[in-house]
Amino acid sequence: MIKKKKRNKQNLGWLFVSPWVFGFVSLTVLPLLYSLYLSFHDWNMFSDPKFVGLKNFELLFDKTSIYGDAFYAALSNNLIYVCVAAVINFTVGITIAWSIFRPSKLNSTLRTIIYMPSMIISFALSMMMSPIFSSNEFSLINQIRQAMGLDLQNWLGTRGQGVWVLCILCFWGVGGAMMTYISGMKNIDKSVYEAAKLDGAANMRLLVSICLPLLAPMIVYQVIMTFVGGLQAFDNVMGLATICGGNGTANMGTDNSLATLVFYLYNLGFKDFKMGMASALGWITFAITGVFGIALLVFVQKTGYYSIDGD
Amino acid sequence: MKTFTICLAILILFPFVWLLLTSLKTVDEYYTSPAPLFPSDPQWSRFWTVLVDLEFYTPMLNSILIAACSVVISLTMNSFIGYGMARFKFKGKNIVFILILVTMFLPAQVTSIPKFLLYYKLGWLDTYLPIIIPMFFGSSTGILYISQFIRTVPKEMDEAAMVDGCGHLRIWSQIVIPQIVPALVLSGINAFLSSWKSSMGPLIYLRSPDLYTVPLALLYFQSPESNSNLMLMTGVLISMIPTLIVFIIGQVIMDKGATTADLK
Repeated sequence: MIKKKKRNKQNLGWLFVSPWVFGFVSLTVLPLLYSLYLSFHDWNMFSDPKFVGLKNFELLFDKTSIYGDAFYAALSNNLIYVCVAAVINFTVGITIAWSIFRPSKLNSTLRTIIYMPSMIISFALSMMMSPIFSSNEFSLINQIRQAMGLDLQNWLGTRGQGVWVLCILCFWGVGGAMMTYISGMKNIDKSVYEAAKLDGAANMRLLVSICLPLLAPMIVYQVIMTFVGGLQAFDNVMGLATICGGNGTANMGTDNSLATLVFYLYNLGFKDFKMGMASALGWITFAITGVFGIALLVFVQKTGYYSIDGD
Repeated sequence: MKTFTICLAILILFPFVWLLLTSLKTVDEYYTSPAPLFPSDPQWSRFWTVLVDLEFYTPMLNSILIAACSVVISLTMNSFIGYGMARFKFKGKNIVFILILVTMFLPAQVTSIPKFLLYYKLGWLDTYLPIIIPMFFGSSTGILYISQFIRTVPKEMDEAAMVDGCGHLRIWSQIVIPQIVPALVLSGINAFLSSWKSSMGPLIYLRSPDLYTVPLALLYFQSPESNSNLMLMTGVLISMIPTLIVFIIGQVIMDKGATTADLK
């Protein structure tokens, strides 16, 4: 009798989880496998897929081909972007969270202002930068440069420079990290702060010796997620490319100045209809993300940041 | 440190103000160099022109419809699945948990091409189905967040209800859900925002302009007149209004929710 009840409970558990499992198999596992299959084929969606072995990967890694050129531009842009994003999210996020986590009217206003850009459409945020960064003589940057007697500058359309505009946009994206850190700081027991204050610890000392160690798991989690999210940068760059090229879907800035891995994947797959090569690029992106993913898994298992074993 | 934060807030606010000032300028003012800082004759009518004459209201309504579906469906499904994760012990639960984590960092774009083909075969392209149907399978962040929250709800109440003859469906819908309102509100705001902001899905699946969501409308913005840049800036401003409203509503509910959440 007891055994039967337990059995029943097992099945019920699966029943509740089954929608997710179905979605996972049909929309993640099978597409992932099919995408692996496609990555070894040359296919434009209309003819039959033709097996080409590793050719897609070779073309992407070959610096002299146009594909390789764009791929390396995308890769270097993306790596610069994730590193800068992680640093900004951590340093700026912690600093501002620390300065405004105590409840007050001014603090909550500041919180709302800093969080606001995280709520708006990424295209909109990037396009908003158009009166500031665009290459024509009417943009703010170029107005200032003209006033100083310098020539016009096309940051977005120069390879090696476009990505830094993307990095500047990170300041408009720290809101999420800030909110997480604020909730963490609020959860730290007040008596801990007070005890340290009694011992004569200054504000900075409180942050470094008390707050940071207590928040360490949250910070690690947040940094890993920034890396993962940054590797998937897509709509913010596409928005910037719109400013740069006039027609945003046509290209990735001038001379791939605004290429990122996923943006390139989108262009390869849905503009050039090179489904095989896009799938190959997808798997390369997946592999790079996987490194961070494994770090995340190990971390979660070790610290129990998320846990499921109650009672 | 506070000074730094205030400076940052001003920096963040600056493009918004600049955008507002720019979008209110006349065409001539916009194309003079050096441009005047403030518009001499604010063009407030441009908002109306963009919203009504250029039919910017269509993508707005489309986006709101999809976002509303997203909130309702994903809250229901995530709390349903989260209940299963939080309240049952079953074989393979640990694996399911790890896989849920894995999907969190898996770049969704890797699977975009096979999914596109799947929806093409199903004849779902150029409809909202590819965007709405996957919501029924729950989202990993939502599930994890809600199941964490359900675990903090005391089990005694479940057990009491079970003694009274409640099934799990009723316990889930009538005992657990009222107690996790704060988590649901936060999760709901997230669902709304991520649906409102999502661009790649609509970009791939939608073709006809009638179905465009706001991000697409901004990307393919066209104006019959030469001042399309100014019109676009106005469109960008309009697109921010609903999210601000949702944010405010969310905060109001959060304040109330904290009190209604404890079920006696």
